[in-house]
Amino acid sequence: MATGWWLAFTPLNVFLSAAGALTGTVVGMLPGLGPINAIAILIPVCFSVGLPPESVLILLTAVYYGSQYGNSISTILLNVPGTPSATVTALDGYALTRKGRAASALAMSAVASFVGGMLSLVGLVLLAPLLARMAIRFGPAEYFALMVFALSTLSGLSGGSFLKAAVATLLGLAFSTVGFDPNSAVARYTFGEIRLLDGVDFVVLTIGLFALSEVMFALESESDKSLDRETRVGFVLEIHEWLSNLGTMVRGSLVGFAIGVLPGAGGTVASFIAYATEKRLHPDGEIGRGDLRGVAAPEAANNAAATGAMIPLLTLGVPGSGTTAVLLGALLGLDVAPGPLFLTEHAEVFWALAASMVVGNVVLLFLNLPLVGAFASILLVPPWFLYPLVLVLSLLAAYSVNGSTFDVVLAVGFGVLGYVLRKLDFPLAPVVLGFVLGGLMETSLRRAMALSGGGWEILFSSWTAITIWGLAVVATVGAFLRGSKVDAIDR
Amino acid sequence: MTDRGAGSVLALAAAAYFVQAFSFRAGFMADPIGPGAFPVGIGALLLALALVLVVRGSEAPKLDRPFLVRAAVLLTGLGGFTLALDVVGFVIASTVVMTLTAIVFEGPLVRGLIASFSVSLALFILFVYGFAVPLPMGSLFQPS
Repeated sequence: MATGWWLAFTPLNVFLSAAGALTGTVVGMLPGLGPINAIAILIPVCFSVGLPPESVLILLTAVYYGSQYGNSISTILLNVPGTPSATVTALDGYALTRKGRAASALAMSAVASFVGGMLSLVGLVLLAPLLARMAIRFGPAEYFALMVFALSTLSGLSGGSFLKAAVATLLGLAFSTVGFDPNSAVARYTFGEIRLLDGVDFVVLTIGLFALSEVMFALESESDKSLDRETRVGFVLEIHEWLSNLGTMVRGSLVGFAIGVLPGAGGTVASFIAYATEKRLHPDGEIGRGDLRGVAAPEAANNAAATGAMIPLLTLGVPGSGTTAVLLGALLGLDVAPGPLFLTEHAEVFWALAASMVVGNVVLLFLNLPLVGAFASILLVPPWFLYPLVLVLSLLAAYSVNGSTFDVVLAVGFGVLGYVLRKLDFPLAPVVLGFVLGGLMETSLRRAMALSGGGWEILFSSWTAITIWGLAVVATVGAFLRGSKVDAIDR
Repeated sequence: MTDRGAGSVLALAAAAYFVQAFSFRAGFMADPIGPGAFPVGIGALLLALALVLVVRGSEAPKLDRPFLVRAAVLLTGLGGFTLALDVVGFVIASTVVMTLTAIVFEGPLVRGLIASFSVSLALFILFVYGFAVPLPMGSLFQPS
């Protein structure tokens, strides 16, 4: 153990971490590239340079953490979430930016990510084998219930009309069914268009809904007078604010870690549920209108989930997300096969990995906190330069997903849709979550049905599933009651 | 557009989605409910909620004329970008759409043009050489 642990702290490895975190931050700021691409590009480079296994892991995790943070930067400052999990951060992060507190939101995001990363590491080290055994028991019926729960908590998130949030969620689910159905080889809603067979890409959808509609909104509010350009860059080290949000961060980390352990659910569900939990615990109505807690909870949860996802990866060899899948590839390339025996046979790699996460988290915090002011000053750029830049970065992101102009057309279409929806007070985050979870939700449902031979009772056949269903009902009724007040005011 | 209008459009779309879902027949031993069941459920719920929106109705948000004109210019620019991208290549298409957007946001023409070109060129170099993401060079400039 000790050797693996200390290996992470050699000068070379600390340098690699810093370089990785910086590179990751830059790549993460550009939506469309994302951590998976950054890591995938780096893997062959690592092998060709001949870095030892632990250095490769350290570099890759640093890039991953860095890109998560970089993604938060573009989410908070420009309302351009590049990954599904950042969609939640956009709710309060961007609201804070509009209030003139961009730098505080960025700092909060860095601190919360750090707390989430570190706490979940403790969990990883202590609970890995135990949790891996529990995750196996999570069958398709439980997954389906979990997805329904995640979607129902979300209807309460927007703070607006329940009806509109529900419609938005269903729209997202509907978009998720577009494309080739792998189970039955049926092409659904492709209208004979070959380029739709792969379905709609997440980046294309979010770039359109969020970034492009944002440009149209900015255009509408003319020279963007609602933003106070001078004050919103001010940065104060608000340590008392971080401390007062410690509870939020700890809760977020716990939720994130627990959900991260479940393969497939990952950071997105984790950050949404952590956010919804905070919203319920603090019914003062500030969360959703630019509250630091609304940034702290999802950011901590997201990072904790990333660590949690390591558990099924390392102990079962099951990658729970795209990024862990790439990491699995890297491990196999290093002749390290994850599986039930991993913790005993490759203890030194496990400890090197844990240590590399510590180094990555610490480096990221100390690298990014001083730079927060510099990042926030992006907002001082005049609108006539900022918005064309956002626009072209968005188009570029949509294009680079598949190298296809068709995706750019789709993104523009989603941009118009996003603008119309926002104009009519439909929340956008549920569309994205419905879209992201739709695939897993349908697969789980169909797998459960396959197990039962078509009997629906399987969905309620375990206590775990029944408990989750109960939570989902409570969440839906709660959201409905809250939302109907808003509906009443609407009319 | 009001909630009523949006609800109507949505109801039509949901109905089409719902009906189409019945055409996805496969269903076999290992997949008893087949590829249609999930979309049927979503389509039915969406249709029901859309009809509630229609019945309920609400006030229309205001859109002013100058904005609509500028939005139309912006969308035309975006449409032009998608059409021109493969023909003239990323740098030119991006410079044009950025400049157009800058003008719509009441920016200075010459500085806007220079800034747009520099950014487009820098992004092109960064993506193509830095990230190994190929961007269109433009079929006009390729020897055929």
